[in-house]
This record gives sequence, C-alpha cells and structure tokens, in this order.
Amino acid sequence: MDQSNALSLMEKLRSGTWHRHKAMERLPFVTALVEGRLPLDSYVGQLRGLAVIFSAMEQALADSTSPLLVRLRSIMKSRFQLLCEDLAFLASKCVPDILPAVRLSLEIAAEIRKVVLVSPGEFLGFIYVLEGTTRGNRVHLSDIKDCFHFPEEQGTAFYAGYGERTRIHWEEFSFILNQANRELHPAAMQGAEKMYEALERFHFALFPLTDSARGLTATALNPEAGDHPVPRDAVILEAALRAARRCWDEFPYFAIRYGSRGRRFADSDAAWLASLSDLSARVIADQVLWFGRVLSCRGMPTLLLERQLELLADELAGKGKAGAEEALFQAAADLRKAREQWMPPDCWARTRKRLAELPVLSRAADLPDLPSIFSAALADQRAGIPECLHSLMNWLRKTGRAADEELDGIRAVLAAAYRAQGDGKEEGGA
Amino acid sequence: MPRVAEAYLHALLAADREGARQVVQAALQSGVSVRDIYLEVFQPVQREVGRLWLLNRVTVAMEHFCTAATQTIMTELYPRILSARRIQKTLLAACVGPELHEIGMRMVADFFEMGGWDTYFLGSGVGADRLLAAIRFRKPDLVAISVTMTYYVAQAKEQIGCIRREARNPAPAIMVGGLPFLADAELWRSIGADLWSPDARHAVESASAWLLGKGQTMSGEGTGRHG
Repeated sequence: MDQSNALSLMEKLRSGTWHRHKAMERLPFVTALVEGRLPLDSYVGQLRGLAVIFSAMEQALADSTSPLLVRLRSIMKSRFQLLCEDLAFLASKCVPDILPAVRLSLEIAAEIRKVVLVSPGEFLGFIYVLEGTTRGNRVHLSDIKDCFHFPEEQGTAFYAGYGERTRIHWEEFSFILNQANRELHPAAMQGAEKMYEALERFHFALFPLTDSARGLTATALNPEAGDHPVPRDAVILEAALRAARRCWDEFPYFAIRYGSRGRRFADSDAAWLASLSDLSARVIADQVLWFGRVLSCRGMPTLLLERQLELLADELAGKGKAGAEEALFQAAADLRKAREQWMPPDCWARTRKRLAELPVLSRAADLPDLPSIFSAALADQRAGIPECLHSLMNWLRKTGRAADEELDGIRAVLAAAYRAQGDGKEEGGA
Repeated sequence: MPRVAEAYLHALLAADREGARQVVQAALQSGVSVRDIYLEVFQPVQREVGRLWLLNRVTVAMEHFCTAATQTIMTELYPRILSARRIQKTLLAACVGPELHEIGMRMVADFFEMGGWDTYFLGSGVGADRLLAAIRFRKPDLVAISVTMTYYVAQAKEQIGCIRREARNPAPAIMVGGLPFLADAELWRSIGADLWSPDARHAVESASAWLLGKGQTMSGEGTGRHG
C-alpha cells in the first residue's frame, strides 16, 4: 500500500517541498538580510514584486466560487494591503525598480491568473507557498527591523503578517486546505514546486544587485498596473503624479467609489498618459479615445479623462515640455469637443442643475460632483458608451445610496435631457 | 464559420480549454482549413475577448486565459502548418511588447510558415541586441516586428534604426504590424519600416510582392498544402 495516500495534503506539501523551503533559507537575499547587509533597494524590490504577486493571488481568490477557496479567503488577511501599506511608507525613499525582478513578478502573476482557471489543484499549491511565507516572515521580522531601523516599525507590516495569531492562523489554514479533494493533491504538489522555484528566481534577481537593469516601471506606482511604460523623464513623471492628485481632489467621486486601489490606478494611469506625449498627435488622440472608453465602461465618464489631460498639460506648462503640453491640451480639447457635440453646454448646465435638485443627489454632500458625473455619463451614452450610466446606477443601488424610485428620478431627468437634445433613441441607464 | 467562432468563444469563456480544442478539431475534421481557423475563429474571437474586457464584461484573468488557451491550441496545429512546401525564404519575427500580446505575431509567423517560408519567432519583449544577433545568425529575407501597444512604437523605431545601421549585408526587409499602425496609416513609414500589414494573410502577400519588386524570386510560392 502506498503510504503517501494516507497523508493529508498539508503533510504531503510540507514533506514534498521541504528541500525547496531549505533552499529559500539559503538564498543570498536571505543571508544578506540575516547578516544585516541587505540593501534597501532589494527590500523595496521584494515588497513591490510580492505586491504584484499577492494582488493576483488575492484577486483570483476573490473571483473564485469554489467552496474551498471561499473558506480559505474567509480566514486570510489581505497581505496585499499590508504590502501597499509598507510601500506607501517607503515611497519617499525613491528607490528605482530592479527590472528583472519586476519582469519575474509579472510572470508569476500571469501564471496565477491562468492556473486558477485551468488547474485548481496547482492553485492550492500556489496558495500554500504564498501563505506559508507568513511563517518565514515572522522569523525574519527582527532581521528587517535590525537591517533598516524604520521609525515606529513602519515598513514592516508585511513581515509582521498575522502577528501573534500566526500559529493559530496556520492551523486554521491547514485544516481547510486538508479538506481538498485527494484528486487535487498531485497538482497541488506540482503547483507548490512551481511557486517555490519562481520565488527562488525572483529573489536571485533581487540580490546581489547589479548596476544595470534599474529603472522605473508602472508597478512601482501601482502593483496592479501591469507593465505599461511610464515617463523616463522625472520632470514629466512628477507632473503626471501632481496632475493625478489634483484631479483626484477635484472629483471626490474617485475616492468614495474607488478607494485606495483607485488612487494607485490614478497615479499609474496619469504616468501612462504622460508617456504618450512623445507620440504623434494622431496616435495620442487614438489612445486617449480608447482609454476614455476603458474608463467610461468602469464608471468614469470621459469628462474625467478630459480634465486629467488638462491638468497634466497645465502641470507641464513652463517645464520646457511645450510639445507635450500642447499635445495633451489638444487631446483634452478633442474630448471636450466630442462631449459638447453630444451634449451642448446649455443642455449640460440644465441637466446638471436638475440632477443637483434631486433629493437623492442633493443629500449626497460628500459627492458634490455627482450631477456632473451623471451629465457626463449621459454624454458618453449618446456617444455610444452606455456602460458608464449602467455602472453608476448599479453602484448607487448596490451601495444603498439610492432606492429604485430615486434611480427612476435620475432616469427621468436624463430622459428629459435626451428629448431636449432630440434624436434620443433610448432613455436613461440601467 | 461564425458558428464555430461562437462555439469556440463560448468554450473559452467557460474556461473550458478542452471544449475549445474539440471545437477546433471538429472544424478541421469537417474540412475547414487551418488558415480559416486562424482568420475566422482565432482572430475574431481574440478581438471579441478584447472587446469584452474593454466593456468590463470579462476580467483580465479571463482575457489572459483565453489568449493562453488559443496559443496552446495553435501549437497543436503545428504539424499541419509545418508541412507546407518550402520556398527558400526566411522570416524572423519578434514582438516588442510583453508576452500576452504576442499572439498576433505568432499568427502572422504561422501564415508565413503555411506559405512555405522558414520562420523564426523570437517571442515577446525582444530587445535590439537579441534581434540583431538573430539577424546575423539567420540572415532573414524579412524581419517582422509586432507592436500591439502604442507606447512600444518608439522602441520599434529604435530597433529598426539598429537593424538599418548594423545589418547591411544582406539587409533584410522590415515589416511592422499591430494596432498602432491601423490607427495611423503613415506611422509605419515614419518609423523607417519598408512595409506594414493589417493582418496575417495580407502580410504574406505584401512581403512576397515587396521581395518580387526587389527582383527576388519566390520559388514554390503558394504551393503549400493549406493554400
């Protein structure tokens, strides 16, 4: 009889990957950390890469309807949030990315997204390794503190992990993972091996450091941004981030609806927009149009992108980037022109005023921009993007900000605006 | 074919890779050519998946899964693709952008292979050094560079400049393709390419026409089994 069949999944994983675990402990990265000579760049690189990886894993867990994964999710802390917390603290250190490590983290994230759909067993192995890092981190938390001496223990939330609850959490985690169907065990073992190997390669890329292969990527601004370019010119990048902040402040809707995740995307999106400024006006216009549609379908009407471009151009004014400034102003002007074609200023003002008078919107003191957002969403709908209005209506309903009859009131105002403009073939949103 | 594409899409969106594979196999068994599978199934389905992502109706994860599944199924078709008669022309293909956007270039390379070309696909994220080394080793008649995201256009321009400077004897023709060139009809010329193509079928035709125009022969052209 095969004795291994009697073992639980956790026992199999532990014994089957013990050599991998030991190899991780011998990595140059870990040795340098223990000896107190790990460079800050390597530590920040680790947190950034792991943020990319944990974001993918937690999103995969959040999207899953598998009862086992739902149970695991219910006991797991968002370690992605802990990583974001640390990275927010470390942002002021202006550490450049270690490009090979970024590339490897993106590859691991892509593998996670694929595996969760095609091989649930392997995904369990991935989770086992990634969640298991919480135990190793507890061991090395003091090394991080000794190595970097951050004030008030900031920058160590990820290593602190579950804190005093680590052992209890691991027992709960083990109990649930052991409920996995035995048919999944071989794939889980394979997944664990694969994740260990990937993490080894990732850590080899982090330390020892080489002078080459350094730079700034979108993941440094936002671990969920993927690998799109950001401006190489620090003046342009800083202008982009300032513009993002101004736009964020102008529209409280951003923060209330999209929270800290939205804030990170605001930065990376702004950096991407700024990176377009070297391209021809025609290509910029095409990209802006495409991006406006992407955002609108996610509940951000094109008006917000229009404003973002204006602010970005404004931030670039007087910085010796006249070409970029002009191109971005032009892109904003094109969006405005398109919007006004579908909703002339008088219709806009009238609709906005009527919406603002509705009790459902007037009582939302924290969202003074909502009438403008709705008016802009109506313009987008007329331009052939109905998803924005649907998204807004659904959000108001789901968050309990509006009852069905109040949504009907909004629809009535929008329908009137449609009629006033003529050729209204459809009315209101979802 | 729209029905095959619809069934294929349906299987992919259910994360049913085996089902998608069966749809393709059934179509091939009923006499549909590999070329038609590429043009009438893979290409429109990839575009539809991209559209659904844009509309926020499928997740990034699902989009990535669909692409990966199609790439796997394409690989399984290679025994049929590689059987075309050779015409003594060589294509070197590379993608400037990341892995997930290499599927279009892979399709183009496969069409050249079906047209009898010897093709070498370097994959994604190819830098100028790697591209030049491959050009020196393979001595291709044509270098095809795919740029799926606009922000990689500048990188493609740099690579073309490098090829022009460093690979003169023999100097390969340079073709570009990808979404940015659909948006701006003159972009390919402005970055120094010799020709561009909006899709896989057109790429083979225009490359052949371009080489013929330069006095080269295309021996055995169009005699592949899947023409």
